[in-house]
Amino acid sequence: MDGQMNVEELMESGVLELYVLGTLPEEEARHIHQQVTNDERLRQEVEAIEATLIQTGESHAPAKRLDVMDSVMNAIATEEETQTENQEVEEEKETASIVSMASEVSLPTKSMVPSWMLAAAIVLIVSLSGNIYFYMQWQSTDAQYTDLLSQSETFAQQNQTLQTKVDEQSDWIAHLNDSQGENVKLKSTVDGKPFEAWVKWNPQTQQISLYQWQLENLSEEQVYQLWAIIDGQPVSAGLLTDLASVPTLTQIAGKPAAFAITIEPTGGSEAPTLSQMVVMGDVTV
Amino acid sequence: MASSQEITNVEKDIVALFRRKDSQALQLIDQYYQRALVGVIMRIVKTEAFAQDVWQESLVKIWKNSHTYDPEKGRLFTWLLNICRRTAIDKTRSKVYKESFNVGESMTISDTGNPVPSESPYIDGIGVREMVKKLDPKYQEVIELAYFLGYSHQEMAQKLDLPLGTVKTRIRKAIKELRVWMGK
Repeated sequence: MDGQMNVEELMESGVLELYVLGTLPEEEARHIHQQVTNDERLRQEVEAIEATLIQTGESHAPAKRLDVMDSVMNAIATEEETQTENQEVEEEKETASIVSMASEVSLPTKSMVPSWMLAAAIVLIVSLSGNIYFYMQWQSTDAQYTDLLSQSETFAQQNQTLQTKVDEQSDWIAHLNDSQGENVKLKSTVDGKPFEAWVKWNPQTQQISLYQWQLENLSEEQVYQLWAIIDGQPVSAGLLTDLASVPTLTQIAGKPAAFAITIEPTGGSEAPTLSQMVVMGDVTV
Repeated sequence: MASSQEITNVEKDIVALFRRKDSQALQLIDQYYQRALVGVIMRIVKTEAFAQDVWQESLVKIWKNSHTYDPEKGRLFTWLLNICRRTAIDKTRSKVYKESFNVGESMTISDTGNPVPSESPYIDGIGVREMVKKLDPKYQEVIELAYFLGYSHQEMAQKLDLPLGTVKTRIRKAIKELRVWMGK
């Protein structure tokens, strides 16, 4: 180990040359450096070796010195400028982050403000954060409430519709169950088709409705329309849009002489299409 | 060529400038070490154009790493030499170097197996390079490997198939002969 060598041995070992050449391991180089620093003869020997190597290196240099300093200084300036800009960007990011957290309340640096002010700022930030949280919660709850209200309104509308239907059906059932009035059978007017239908007419209430029928299904563009023939004129007495549905209960003044059903376009017609009549029956009373 | 004492004083000035982050340090390095370090760089990259690139890159690296130089660990020249040598070797491994450098046309192979310029206009007037050429080939070989290519003595021992002690002795004798010729 070089550490065990005396100065003479070290100078003759070749280790000093390797030390100046920079090819010794770091730990060994550090050890040699300490010895060189502490011994004048070793220091002079190292300086002589270094001077020899410098002169040897110079012997391979171009005759004219290289002029690179302007480029080097520019490169360094550009690099330091970029580093400064990057630092500023990083600082801006950090600042933006703090501002964002504090809901745009700027927080002075610790060194510039008394501690009570810093504490107050922290309390303000916490308070603002809490407010923001509760506001968000309130917004969320409000949105849920609005949704529920909307759903409730929809349910109410649906309920109203159903109630209306129930009322209509109740009226229709009451009409049918009323012992007063006439039941009129309408017979097929189409050859080969065993169509028929029944109409209940109550002269006292003047209500009219279909209540039993044997008819064919129609397309979506067609409906069955009931007509009451009063004083020789057809008067619309309601529509049967779906064979499975409850027909409308209609109130008509006057005494019908007969009832008839025709096939009409969806929505019904002002006047019956006689060619599309399917059933007809006279009121016998 | 500055004297040993002058170099030692310059080294102290440069270290002080490093600590103050004063770029004047680079001016001193360029002034006192350029020829020696560019000579080593030239020996590796072979052309002045590449040597200029490498010297410039090396100075930027020196500046960026100036805070890492520790005078307690080694000589400043050695630290600078390592940076320049590594930068030059990296350059020879670059694509642009390989594409633009035609070894077959301008280079011959040295005794150590490394390409060297066949005709160089840069031999200095003092004839130090001639001195190196006059060295015994076995000493030329270790100077080439250790100084210009940065081989450690272990790597040289492996490459030359010699005991470590023999490598150290050859390095010692090679530099000693040069010192005698240079009067150092």
